[in-house]
Amino acid sequence: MTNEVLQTAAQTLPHVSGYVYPNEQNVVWSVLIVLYPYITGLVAGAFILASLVRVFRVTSLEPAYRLCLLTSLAFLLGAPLPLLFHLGHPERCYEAMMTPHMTSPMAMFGFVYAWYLMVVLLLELWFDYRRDFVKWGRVTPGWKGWMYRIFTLGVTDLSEKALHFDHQASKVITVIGIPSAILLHGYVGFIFGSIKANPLWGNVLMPIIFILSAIVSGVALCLFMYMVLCWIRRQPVDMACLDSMARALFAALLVAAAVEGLDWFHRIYEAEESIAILKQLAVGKLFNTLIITQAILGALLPLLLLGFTLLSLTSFFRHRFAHELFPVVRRRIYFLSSVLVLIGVLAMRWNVVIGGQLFSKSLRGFTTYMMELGGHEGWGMAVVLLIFPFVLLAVFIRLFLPEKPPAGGAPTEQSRPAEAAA
Amino acid sequence: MKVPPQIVRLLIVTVVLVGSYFVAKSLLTPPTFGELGWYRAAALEELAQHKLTYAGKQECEVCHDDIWQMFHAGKHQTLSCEGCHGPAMRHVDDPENEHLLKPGSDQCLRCHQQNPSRPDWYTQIDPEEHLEGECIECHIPHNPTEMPEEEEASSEQ
Amino acid sequence: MKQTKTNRREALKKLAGLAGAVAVAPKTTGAEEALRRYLFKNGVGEDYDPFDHKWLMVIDIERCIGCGMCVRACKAENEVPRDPLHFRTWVEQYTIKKADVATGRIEGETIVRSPNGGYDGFPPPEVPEEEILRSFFVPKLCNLCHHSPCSQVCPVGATFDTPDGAVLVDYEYCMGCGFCVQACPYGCRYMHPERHTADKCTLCYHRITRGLKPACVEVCPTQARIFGDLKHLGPDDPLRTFIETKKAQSLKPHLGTEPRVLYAGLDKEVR
Repeated sequence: MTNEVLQTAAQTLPHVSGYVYPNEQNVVWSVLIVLYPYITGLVAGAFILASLVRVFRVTSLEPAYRLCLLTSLAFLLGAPLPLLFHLGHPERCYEAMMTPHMTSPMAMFGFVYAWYLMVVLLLELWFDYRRDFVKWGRVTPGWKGWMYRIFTLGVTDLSEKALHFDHQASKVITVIGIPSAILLHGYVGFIFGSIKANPLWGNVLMPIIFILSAIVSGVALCLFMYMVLCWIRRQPVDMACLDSMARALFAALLVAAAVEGLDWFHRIYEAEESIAILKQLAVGKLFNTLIITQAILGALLPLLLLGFTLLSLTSFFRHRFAHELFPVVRRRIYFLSSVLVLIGVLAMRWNVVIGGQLFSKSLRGFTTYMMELGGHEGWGMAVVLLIFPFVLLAVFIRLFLPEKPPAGGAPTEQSRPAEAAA
Repeated sequence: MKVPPQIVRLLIVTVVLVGSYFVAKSLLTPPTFGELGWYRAAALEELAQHKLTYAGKQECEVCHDDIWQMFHAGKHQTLSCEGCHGPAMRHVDDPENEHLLKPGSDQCLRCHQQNPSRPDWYTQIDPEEHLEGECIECHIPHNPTEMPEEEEASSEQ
Repeated sequence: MKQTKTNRREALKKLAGLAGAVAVAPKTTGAEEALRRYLFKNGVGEDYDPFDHKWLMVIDIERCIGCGMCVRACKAENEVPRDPLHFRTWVEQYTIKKADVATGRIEGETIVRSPNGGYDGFPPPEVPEEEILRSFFVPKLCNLCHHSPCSQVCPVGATFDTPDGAVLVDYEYCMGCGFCVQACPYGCRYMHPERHTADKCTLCYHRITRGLKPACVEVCPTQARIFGDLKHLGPDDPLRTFIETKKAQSLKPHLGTEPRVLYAGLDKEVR
């Protein structure tokens, strides 16, 4: 027996270093739970960018307004899928709505989600689109026409008064929408921030960090989608709009990076019991994703790139050098920055979700996340779930953001976003 | 003042959605949910029905009272029969066909091997320094301070 | 001879059942009826009143010898996967080295290990004996928190604190989100690979409701695990003695979970 015991002891499982509680050797929340806050963050960020147009009257963003909303909708519809696929019993997911446990932050998911989808996004889109649906419904044949007509919900009144009401209502909803978007993502941050058992997660700054990084990623996504859409449609890019988005991205990124830096500064200075293992985690298991990808590639580099580019737009710079950076250079820099930021925020979600499970709650060791290629929680599934919202968005763009209004449709009185870009 | 048609339609949609939510809620909430707290009270009874694997020491006395008496006179009285002999519920249910383990010396060493992590009060031996051979040659497991009689020791084997 | 013994056993069983029925019968009358809020049938078909009990397990570290019988019994009794990744209870071996005098510290490095959760018992520490300052075993299990973070975060009410002091998982209702696994500060929960739900120590709910001890307590040779019913503590109950005489601590008290599982002789290095 002794030999047997010695053998077992010698076979310390290879993916574990130091001591972890036996049940912690498996990482419970997989890459799918990395995607969930990532996608939800994109939703919130895209909506907040759109709200700049309606509430804060940043008119230069008008060409991208509808794209932002549709992006937000596509990603919102894709957001619950990773959660659903991760569940041990996906067929029981309805329970979270039927018997929501009020002390659980996760129980609020269904309600926050439903609120955001129905009361904010769909309503906002409906008021914004109703006139177009009525018009397109009149001239479009086949199922598409039916679809547009159904989407009007039978309200075909296009009088001046009715359209004015649409506009006003849309504004009101945006005002409700901003706190809702913040709630949507702040609550995702709270899911992690409320876990006192985990010293990396249990942190009052967590919801704020999640909201800020959500805004960053959402703005970056809209910038990215806008440029991709223009490129696919061979349309010229509206530089004023692009510069505005870049400004928003820079500002959001600066604040987000500052708050996340503050979080780590505070941890290191306070140096509580857990700091030793968290430091080891940051420079060890998470070095590539935290230091390299999230901090340097995902924050520092885009900040420098965007910072210098935006500096070139200031009167000071123009005065000195007689010219701003050429639009073609700016476009490339913006595009590169948006991609870097998108990757950086994805890395941030990884570092929180996976990183938080790599160290033991005994603070004495690490385990390893062994990700499979296939399987319902593997790489393949993750890629599919990440691509899905883009596919959905492509469909939405085809249906609701046509290059030209449906055949025979009268041009709308005021130029509409996509058309302005054309 | 006339209510805008948009609002009327949206109200209808809202009422339908909220209404169907409450209908679904009343249909899909399990019967005993909330009787004791925010959970299915019936779960208590379900979990209590799980089958036994370990019968418990008192079951052994029913048939093996001879060993029981010797056992309770000795130093091993705090032990459970099933600790060394393994789970006994199947044996209790079917004593003729289901038999228990007769543990060997490795089972003794599992507890009594010298180990610096073990408390000082506890009897430990170094198998290399201790006398050679099987433990039961010198100890009766059910009363380990007694020496086995020749007869019994041979019948054990 | 054997036949008569079996018969006697059966007769005794019947008698025990009768005695149980008699003991239960008078309680169901009068004012007590009103106080009784919930009854259910235990595994042998008797009425069990969860409000009439408050079960508790406490640990005397000084008595644990690291035999790992409790881990084995738990796995066999509760269909816990036999692999070294899933445990409802496990035993940790702590070895604290002597400090290098030059460092001026009280003690050296702490080495913790739990090979296969202690299922196969423990070899002596790898540290040479002359370098060991102190070494001991600590059994771990669900801490039965007063403010259990696991049932707090369950989104659907599939895990809950029972009136009689256990924290259970409703396997028919758990949707397997894993939030409770994250919320437990003590690593006492895992996702069951076959059931696809959370799983944890139930205090052997199917045993304690039948008047038996939990499997780990049953097989513990040294009474390092002490189990009892706070609502029915006899004068010589080991649980009473423990509570009245031992200076005990709980794990990670700073988290405010107020574990009900207490440890006598807990070392500061234990987390």
